[in-house]
Amino acid sequence: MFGKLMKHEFQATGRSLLRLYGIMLVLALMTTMAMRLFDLNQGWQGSVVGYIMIAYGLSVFAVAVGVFIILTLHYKKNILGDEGYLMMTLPTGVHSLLLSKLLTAMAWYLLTGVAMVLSVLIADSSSIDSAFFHDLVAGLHHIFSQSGALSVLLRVLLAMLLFASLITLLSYAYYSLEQSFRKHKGLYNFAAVVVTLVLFRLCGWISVNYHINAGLAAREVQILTPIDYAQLIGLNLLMYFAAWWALSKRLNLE
Amino acid sequence: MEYILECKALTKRYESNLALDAVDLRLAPGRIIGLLGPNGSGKTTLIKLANGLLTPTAGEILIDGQKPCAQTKAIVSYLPERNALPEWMRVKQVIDFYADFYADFRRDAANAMVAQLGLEPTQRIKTMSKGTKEKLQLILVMSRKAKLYLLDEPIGGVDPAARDYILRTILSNYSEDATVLISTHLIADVEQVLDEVIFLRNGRIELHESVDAIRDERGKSVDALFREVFRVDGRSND
Repeated sequence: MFGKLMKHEFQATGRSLLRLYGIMLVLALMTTMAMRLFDLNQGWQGSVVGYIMIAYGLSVFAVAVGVFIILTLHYKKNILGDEGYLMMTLPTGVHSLLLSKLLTAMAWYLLTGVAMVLSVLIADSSSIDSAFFHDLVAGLHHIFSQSGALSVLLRVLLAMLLFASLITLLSYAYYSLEQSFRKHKGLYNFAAVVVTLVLFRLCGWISVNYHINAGLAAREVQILTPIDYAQLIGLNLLMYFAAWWALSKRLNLE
Repeated sequence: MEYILECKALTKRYESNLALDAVDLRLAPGRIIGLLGPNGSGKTTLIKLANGLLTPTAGEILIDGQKPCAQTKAIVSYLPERNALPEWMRVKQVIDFYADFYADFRRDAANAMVAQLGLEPTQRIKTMSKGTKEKLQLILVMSRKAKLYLLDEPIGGVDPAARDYILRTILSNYSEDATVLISTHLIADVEQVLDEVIFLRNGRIELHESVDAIRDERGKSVDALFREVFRVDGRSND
């Protein structure tokens, strides 16, 4: 059942997201073609290249922001809108519904990263030659030959993953709780902002105090410590269970 | 006796509005039951509570002895009063969707009814008229071999010819041992198919009786009785 939920979730979200990726990749291709075909120093030709590059830059921005907006709005429509009458009456638990949406969102974020890197490589393909790949491999080799480089990379990846899932779960919790407070929307929005700010300030305060008490140097404060990871995991769990509680114990699909 | 649907002092309040007021109700298997009442009487609220789409304010509702959960949803086939099918889907995709999630879904029956309705498997839902969407949704709901069908206003807002089609589809597809609960305020159209009726007014059950008893003992049609009951004090919201 979980696999089927994931399959349908990919189908439902993929239509819009793949179109966004397509537009970005086409504009990347147009950028590289324009740079090869036109002379940047010729008046109108330089303008054409400039406009195409701006369009490509905007498409990268649109993909970065659009993925989150599309996935968030899809959750609201699919679970709490008219489609909710279908989704919330499927013979499956709320955990399966939430987790399938979260895992699909994480997969899309990953794919978005891959699509962006690919688009940059396409857009800048005029400067990519065998020397580029040689330098790239040499650079990566140099980085990973440093002691602890792999550990840092994994920690950065984990932090990115936790931040992405936290933002996603925050939006799930926000919308899921909102349907229980439809008659007091203004008050709910105010309370949601206050609670979120207090939570994040509290986490920041704990983190800073941990650094001070541990006597870490200012330079090291920039690196996420175990207490930061613990807080991120805790906030993820808090938001997940807030969304789960609202959907399973307080659902009011009016 | 095991009831397919049971309400115990079921209450639902929306802010100051009491939608259901301590409703006690038991539905036996194998019956076609009309949930009748004017708009705003609590019909949709009762059906939504049975599907777990609303949380009761007090009391409880049991489906086959269980509170609404994944297990009860596997035996309940629900037709909402609005289109819940994703607009981007094609007919074939929505049939696949039902087949994927419901073990009791009869794909052959669905395909046959879709073909009879003249729909192409590749047609998108968003290109269909409101009436066609309603019919497609009904086809999907009735293609399941469920124990309980909860049909919320299946004939509301459609022309008489479409009503006949909808009632024919319901009658020719439900299994004999299943219970069908049809909510409507168009009594005359459904009267001939009902075994029992429930009159709901202002969130309270006014009457729960078999159609035969209404005809034989009261000497009235359900429609005549409905008009009589809901005309007494003019409290109908219609």
